Amino acid sequence: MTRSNAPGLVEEDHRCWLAVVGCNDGLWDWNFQKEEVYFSDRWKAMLGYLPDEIGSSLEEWRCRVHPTDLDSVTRAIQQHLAGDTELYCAEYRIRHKWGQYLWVLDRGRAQIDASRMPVRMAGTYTDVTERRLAEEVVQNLSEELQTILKLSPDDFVAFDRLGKVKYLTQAFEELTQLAARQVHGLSEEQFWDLMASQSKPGSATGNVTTARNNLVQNSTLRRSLIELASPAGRVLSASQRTSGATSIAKILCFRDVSHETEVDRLKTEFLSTAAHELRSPLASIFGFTELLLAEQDAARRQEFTEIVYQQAQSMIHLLNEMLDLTRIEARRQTDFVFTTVSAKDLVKAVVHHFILPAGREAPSLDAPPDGLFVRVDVKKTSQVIANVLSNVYKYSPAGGPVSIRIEHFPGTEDASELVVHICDQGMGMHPSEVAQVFERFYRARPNCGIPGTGLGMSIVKEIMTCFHGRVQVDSQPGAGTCVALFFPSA
Amino acid sequence: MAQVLIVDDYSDIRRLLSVTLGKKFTLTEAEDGVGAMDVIRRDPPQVVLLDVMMPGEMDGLAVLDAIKGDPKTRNIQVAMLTARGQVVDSDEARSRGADAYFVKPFSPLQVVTWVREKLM
Repeated sequence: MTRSNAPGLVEEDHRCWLAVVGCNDGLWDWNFQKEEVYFSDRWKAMLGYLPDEIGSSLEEWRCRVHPTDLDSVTRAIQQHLAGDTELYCAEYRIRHKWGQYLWVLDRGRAQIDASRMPVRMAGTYTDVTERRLAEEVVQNLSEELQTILKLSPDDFVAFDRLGKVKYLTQAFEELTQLAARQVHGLSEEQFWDLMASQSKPGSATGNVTTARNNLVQNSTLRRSLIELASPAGRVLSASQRTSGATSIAKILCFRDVSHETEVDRLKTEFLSTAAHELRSPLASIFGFTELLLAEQDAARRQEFTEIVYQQAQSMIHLLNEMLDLTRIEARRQTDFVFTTVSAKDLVKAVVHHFILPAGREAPSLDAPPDGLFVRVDVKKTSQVIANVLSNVYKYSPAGGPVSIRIEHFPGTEDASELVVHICDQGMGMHPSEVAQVFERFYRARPNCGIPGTGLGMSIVKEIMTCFHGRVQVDSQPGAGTCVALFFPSA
Repeated sequence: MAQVLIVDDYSDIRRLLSVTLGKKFTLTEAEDGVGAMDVIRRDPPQVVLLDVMMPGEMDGLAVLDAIKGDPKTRNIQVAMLTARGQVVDSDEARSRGADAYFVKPFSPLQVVTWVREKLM
């Protein structure tokens, strides 16, 4: 066929001819009777061949189809010939002269005779390689994006330029316990409503309305905090980023600040309790010094001065224990020096240095003959044992024996422990008192004249936790108390 | 009949107040809200020095409500002793009928002056 003016063609045919040539597709025409296929020059050129390099057998086509695709193409042809489809259409790979495969869109139609036998079938060939590659790139990008969203540790939600949720990270789902499908496509308004439904009603820490206002005002001074209903105590800090981009317009990030919030709360609580605890000895000191200034009687002055002295000592003791506790908390393991020692020797040393209350006997010590060893900070462990001993003697003011027993505790298979039991037969505690024993400043009997800061056992617990050990208290009112210190075996 | 009832869970504070007042007035003591109510029912004093924060079933404000809520005891003069020095706390105490409010550490001489005023 020559260009532009094909002679001898009727108007419609001319039109078709122009269209076919113009769209640059290949053409094929299968004659079933003659078992011959016409391939246009363009068809052959698409595959890299000159017109005389390809013949007219079906085999020319079949041998070049990608082996994996051949079955599905054959099926598509058969379905069309059987009358199942109006038009034949198949997308597959075909081998170029130089060895690489092209993606082609093969479309056509068959002519069936009265006895339902195919007479002729013809169609066009469009090279869709570029389109297929582009689709693959998009597919890969999409997968990469999904992977990033799945793996990212950040919890965020991205809104597209229509203001609807387009993307969110798996981390966000886990943080808020919302499923992606609940969130996708929501407008910003709807999204915030959803967050409000997840948050704890009446929370003092943060609610959605205030958080949103802070975000809108772009306040850097106030944090936008939201407290969730579940899991309990989960607090999020919200921030937003906007862009002028046409695809993603805004991202809302939520950071889990539960831990910091809890730590802040504990600190505030500790400080206010500590201040409160210091007020009482201070009230005595202030009160009695005022009385002292107005008092003439020497004996009374002596009495008041002694009280002031005692209360001042009490405050010093309290301050020291408070500082001790905060130091242990703040530094955790870093200023501990771990050595492996015999538990028996360590306990013996503590008992030796322990100042017994007047009239009391030293504790009895019961330990197995073969050495049981622990890996601990000797100084801190001595402090623990001394604190427990101090409590044990204090809470058995009527006297009675104090015993220490060291033994091996099998526990679980690979985590055996060494236990130091320290027991008295004193006043004992009610279960409600036992439950509070380790709380800061808790004193079981503040009124019975038993001195103490209420911090001794808190310190014991902190230190034991640093050792990856634990402490347990068993007590019965009137029958005494047993404190068990569990150390991991060395 | 004791003139003054001292109520505080801290023995040191009770001691301070009893030393301050003991020479001039007759005293009884209680260490919690329930104990205070026992004394008041048995043998009502004229003046009560009442700590706000006490453990147990009744704290200071509960005792205050009980005293001021009962026509038989309404006229007992009650001074609250507390560690809370905010205006809002003293306002609350006054609105519930407290006759005075002393913040710890308080001046015992001021307390004596107030007690003397109420008992003379």
